[in-house]
Amino acid sequence: MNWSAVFQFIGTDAPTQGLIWAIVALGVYLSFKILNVADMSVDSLFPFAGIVSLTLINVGVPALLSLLIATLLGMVVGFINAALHVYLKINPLLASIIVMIALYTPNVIISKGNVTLAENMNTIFMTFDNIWNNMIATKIVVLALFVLGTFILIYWFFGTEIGLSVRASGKNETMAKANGINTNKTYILGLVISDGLIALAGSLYGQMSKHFSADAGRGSIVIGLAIIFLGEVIFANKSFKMSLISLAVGGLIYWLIIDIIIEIPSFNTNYLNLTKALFMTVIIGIYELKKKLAKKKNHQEMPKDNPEEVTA
Amino acid sequence: MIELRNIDKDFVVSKTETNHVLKNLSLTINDGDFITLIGSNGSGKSTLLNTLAGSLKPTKGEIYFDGVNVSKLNDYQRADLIGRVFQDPNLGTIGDISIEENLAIAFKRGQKRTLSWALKKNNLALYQKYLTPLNLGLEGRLKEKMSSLSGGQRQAVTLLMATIRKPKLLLLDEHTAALDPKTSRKILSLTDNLIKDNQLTALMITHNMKDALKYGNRLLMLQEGRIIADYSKEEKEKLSVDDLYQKFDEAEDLN
Amino acid sequence: MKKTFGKLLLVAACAVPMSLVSCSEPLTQIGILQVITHNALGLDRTGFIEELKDEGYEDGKNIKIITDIPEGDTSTENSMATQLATSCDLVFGIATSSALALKTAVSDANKSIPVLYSAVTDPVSAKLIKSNTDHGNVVGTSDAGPTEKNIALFKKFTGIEKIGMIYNQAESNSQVQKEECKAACQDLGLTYVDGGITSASEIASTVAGMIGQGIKGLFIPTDNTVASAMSSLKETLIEKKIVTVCADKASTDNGGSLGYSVDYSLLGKTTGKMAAKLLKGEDISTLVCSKSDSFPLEVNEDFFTATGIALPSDIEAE
Repeated sequence: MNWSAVFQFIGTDAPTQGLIWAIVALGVYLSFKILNVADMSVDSLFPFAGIVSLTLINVGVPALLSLLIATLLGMVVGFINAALHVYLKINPLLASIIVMIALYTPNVIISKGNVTLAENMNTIFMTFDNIWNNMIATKIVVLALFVLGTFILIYWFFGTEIGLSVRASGKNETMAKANGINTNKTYILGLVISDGLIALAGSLYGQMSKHFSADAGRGSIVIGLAIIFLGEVIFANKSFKMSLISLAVGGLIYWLIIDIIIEIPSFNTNYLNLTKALFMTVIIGIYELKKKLAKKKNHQEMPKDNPEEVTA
Repeated sequence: MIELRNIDKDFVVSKTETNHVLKNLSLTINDGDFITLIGSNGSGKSTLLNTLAGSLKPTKGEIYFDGVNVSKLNDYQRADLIGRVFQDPNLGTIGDISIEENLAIAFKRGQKRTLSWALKKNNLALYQKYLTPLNLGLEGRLKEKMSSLSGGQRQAVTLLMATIRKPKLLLLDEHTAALDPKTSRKILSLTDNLIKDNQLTALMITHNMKDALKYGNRLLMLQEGRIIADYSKEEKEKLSVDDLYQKFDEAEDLN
Repeated sequence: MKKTFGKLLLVAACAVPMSLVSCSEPLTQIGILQVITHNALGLDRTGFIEELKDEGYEDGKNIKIITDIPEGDTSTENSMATQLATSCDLVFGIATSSALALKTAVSDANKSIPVLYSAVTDPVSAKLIKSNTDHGNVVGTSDAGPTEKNIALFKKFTGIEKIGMIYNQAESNSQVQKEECKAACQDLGLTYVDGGITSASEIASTVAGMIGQGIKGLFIPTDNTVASAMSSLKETLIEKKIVTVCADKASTDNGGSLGYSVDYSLLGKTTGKMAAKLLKGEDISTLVCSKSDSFPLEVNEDFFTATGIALPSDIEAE
């Protein structure tokens, strides 16, 4: 076993994959946990952003600008996704599936199957790499900056009055409306941000792997959900801040585990998907068990209405 | 002054069947009225409340708040005029977030929400000031999650949230029905005081005839979507619970 | 914190089995990345390994072969490419996405080890290489087939004027063959009906749709998605008597009628020869990217017996 190679691999792959998928997990967290909708469009939006980004770079658009454009397009997709529910009254899950299916076509047409970075074009990573010529370090630094930036932005946003109203709408729509919150608007805003994040991650992924095929997104939302649950199991999130941190760390740990599995000699990779499924079952099982135990504890400790306590 | 003019509210059950819940109902609520509303199940009490709040739109008729026609406005658009307390203590607040955050949301009712920080340090003292009169010791627990409070405490906070920005109309939908009798009494007492101290206009649905007589300056009886009785304070004072039951029976016989 | 530590311990414990494998290292490491399990790609891989053996390089004796199959999952494919790039002395990617993933991983790791490829229909348009002779550290074999010759087979049967093609729109190999098919149809005076799909679940209905539009012939390119679903089409094709020309022997055998096919085993062997040369020390710039030049005609007798369609005489002769 060539240990230095193993550590070089895990040391490169886990952080880079972990960081990008942490951003995906953040996007999925917003839609799944805050808006209570399983946003299936992720599987098509992720490659869409990567394909658009690479295609733009190939025709000469600067890498950073292509990233911005891809992110903006992701936000537009999020708007359409939300609008289908808000204005056409389509069930949110179905709306996201419609968007997922609709994005297949542009994915295939723009990429003609798949798109690869042209010879003398630069990605964000390559531009940054010119500073010190160590792509591994570059990837980690650039991605860490993006993760830090987006997470701080999201943490700040959801602490604002508007952000709090979005969280409120997801948790208790009746109460939100009774307090003057336009829950249609907050739903749209939530999905716009969520899908924008997915697109950002997709663009970064495309620029990192320099190649994206039209159906490469399959299973993206599953990875995002796995990271969310993994994070909750490890960190038992008590606050919004902790939830965000758990996503970043969860992403790293998820990929650490996958990479370790890959490294096991003579591991039959045919079983990789089954292993992933078992892994997810274990994680979600532990998560649900924890919830049950917490509820039981709550019931026993829940303060009964003490007549002396409630005084006029 | 709040006016309901000729309100019909129908619910379509099937192609052939429509449920006429409110029938040509007109009502004028004067500023400072504290109305208790009673009626049997299906009489349309909750529908009336929801129509006032904007969660339901009338099939026919209009609603005016101080001469302004609000019939077309949604519930969140009407929210700056209305404070609501629901029957379910979990419905008026959000358990997952802190008491402070809940109050911050209520504090912005009727105002434009911006990108400024929601939990302002200056407001913390204000919230404590509002919480203290409730005598629940909550002013020291602002950072705790709402879910750590009991049902009665949550209703008390919901009451506070509904009145923290003085509403034109406070709507109480059997808000003590889910609480035990002693807590229920405390919450009603709290309600009465809040209304008096802030000179609020309120409409309270209750199943308890005694409470309906005891509280408020006006009693409305609803039967099958129509107001069958509207007693003023003086008239109320002379009534007993049996009188009310008799009135219901009379109305039924007429039908 | 205790819980977190416990979990990290569990994760680290998975690394223990690795230490049980002895760590003596002089064996040259060869990494194979094959995007998905299926017949043609498998033949390619075994051809490669056999050829190496014939040339004196045997797994376990003087080389160590690591095979990773991500089963179509892109992010796993990228991780596996990174793993192979960091630990191997030579890597081999079977199919376009695997080859590209390896190329990127190798350059990101700042290495210049040889990246071999096979089963890539158009390596130039896939940007794997600039040209067959200008290819940097990438070299290999293309499975481009004689699409024109295959489409011409339809003309040998009477009554075929409209043909359809079923393929996965996301596979660039298939897009290349689609253009070739369209061009051939135009040259030969056939009407082309497009059957592009996005996943295996759409195959049956798309084919049924094309049959409804009046096709009498179906072209199956070298497409990983369609190849894996051939057996499900078998009955329909026989029942509706659709002459099905396949560019891949496995597909022909699995429900097609006939076709000039790419010999994947031979492709693998050719790539294996290149690998052997590199292991012996030859410079990669001396190697030329190649493609198959022999395309044996495969015929599925069962199809013709079952449908009663007569095999054209000149084909019988071949």
